[in-house]
Amino acid sequence: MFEELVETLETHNFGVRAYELFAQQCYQSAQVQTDHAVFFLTLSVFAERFVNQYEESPLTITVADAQKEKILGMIQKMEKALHKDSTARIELLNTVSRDIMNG
Amino acid sequence: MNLSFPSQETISEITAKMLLEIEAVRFRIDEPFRFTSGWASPVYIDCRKLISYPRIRQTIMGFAAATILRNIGFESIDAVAGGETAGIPFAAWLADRLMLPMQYVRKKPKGFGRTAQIEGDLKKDTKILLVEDLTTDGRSKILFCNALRTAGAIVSHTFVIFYYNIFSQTNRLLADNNLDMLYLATWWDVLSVSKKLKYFDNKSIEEVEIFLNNPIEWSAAHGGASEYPELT
Repeated sequence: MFEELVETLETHNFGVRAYELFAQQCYQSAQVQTDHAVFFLTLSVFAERFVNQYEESPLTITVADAQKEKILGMIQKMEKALHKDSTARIELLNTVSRDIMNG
Repeated sequence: MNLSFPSQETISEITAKMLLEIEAVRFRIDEPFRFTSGWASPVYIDCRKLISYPRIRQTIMGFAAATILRNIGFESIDAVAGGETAGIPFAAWLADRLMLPMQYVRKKPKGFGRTAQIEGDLKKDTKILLVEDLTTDGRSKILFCNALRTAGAIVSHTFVIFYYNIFSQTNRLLADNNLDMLYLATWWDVLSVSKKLKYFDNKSIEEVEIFLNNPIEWSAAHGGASEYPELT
């Protein structure tokens, strides 16, 4: 479900612009795939926070790589959760949301 | 308006010196930076630091006014527009110096309509100079310029304090969009002054020079972009 989003990040080399486009794409996907809107919205919030933090500040390769690992891990967990029951999905979304809020 | 018109060479050298003096320039070869467009780079510049140094910013604005008047003309611009965020203070000082109205352009539209991305009064067919702090690959200039043109402005020129001048596609991108860019200094000026005044160690200077001569190859070898991204 998230292949195109990952492709956007890869095409734009996980730079700030990649996350900006990724967030826009998440909003569009949330409007189309309404049953999974919350997953897309959560990912867009995560990406936008990164954009706000680094669009006008120096971003080192180390920080960029750490963000890349985080978002790809998040997407992988979401992909798996799609095959689980609603309790497991909510649990994952709560965990991811807490992670986002804690930076 | 009290202006002098030093040569472009002098302007570039003094601008580079000022940027180095306030440590707006960073060379980092062990842990490179990743630019917005995904390029890996050993260099970073923060022109926003200039706003905190009154003697420097006044000199920079004098250079900017001289460069603009010399290259565009004294009566050929009707207004100055700053690009959000870093372009706004420089556009304000420049508008004041050139005795011209000012607007600023948002990164994203706020609300709807022709002028949703513009703040300040803007009449149709106003000849606007777009001002930003720097140009890396030229992408943001096009986005801001398009917003101004959509709002009815005529935009033929953009001014930046610093231009990377290392990505060959930038000039083509600007030319394709009928945009002429003026600037005060480039990485080549910073490199030259850094060498002369020994601001950085030899190893850093050598590596930076390799990057400046072949940024795409250097970026690819350090985990960054390996080709020019599409304008999206």
